[in-house]
Amino acid sequence: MNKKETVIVSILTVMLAIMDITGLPGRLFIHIKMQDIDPVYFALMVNFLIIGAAAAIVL
Amino acid sequence: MIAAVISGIAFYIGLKPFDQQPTVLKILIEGIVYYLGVAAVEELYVRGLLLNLIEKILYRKKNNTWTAIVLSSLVFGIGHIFGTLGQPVLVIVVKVVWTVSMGLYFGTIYKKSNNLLLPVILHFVMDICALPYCFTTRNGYADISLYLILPTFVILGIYSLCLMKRRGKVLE
Repeated sequence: MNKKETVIVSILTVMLAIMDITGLPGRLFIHIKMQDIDPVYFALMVNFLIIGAAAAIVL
Repeated sequence: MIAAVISGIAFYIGLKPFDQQPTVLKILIEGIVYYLGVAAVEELYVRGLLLNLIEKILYRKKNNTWTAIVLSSLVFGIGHIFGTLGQPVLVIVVKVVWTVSMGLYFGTIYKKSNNLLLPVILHFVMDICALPYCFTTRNGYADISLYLILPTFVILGIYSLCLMKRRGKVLE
């Protein structure tokens, strides 16, 4: 792994960690209400998809 | 598997009596599908990216894999502080120690198998032990749950470290 790749992977790791811990950006725009499910779970699950997409694009 | 069963029982005992009747959809989404995402995402960036990154940065050092597992587990444990904010300090400390131990186990499994899918599956199995939370409005951890879960995962973590140390000696 060269220096450039190391930097890219480091930035991606920090970015994914922040997205996972904060739930952003999903929490900002996903407000799905269904039966007795807490709406935050939908926001977090959409966030997981965003994280997966970000990882797939960069890697 | 034993650790997962103990965790499930610990949560069940700690949260009784249950005060909520969830729908099947709630159990499915909050108790299963959500944790599938948690397991996949956390293993991706903690083991798949961070652990390998630390290992590569320290490639000249002896025991670089072992060090990478320990450091990534510490990050994994510290990352779980945010989910326990507002709870007593003892609960936060216990949660960090138990998640660091879990991290040691997942890291060891990953490095021994070289397959990220295995820790993802194990992480998912451990997480769905929190299923009893779907049946209650309560948050946080009961003391009995902590006393049962902490030693289970600490033993698992120490065992993982011993496995990695032994593997390191064999490779030398």
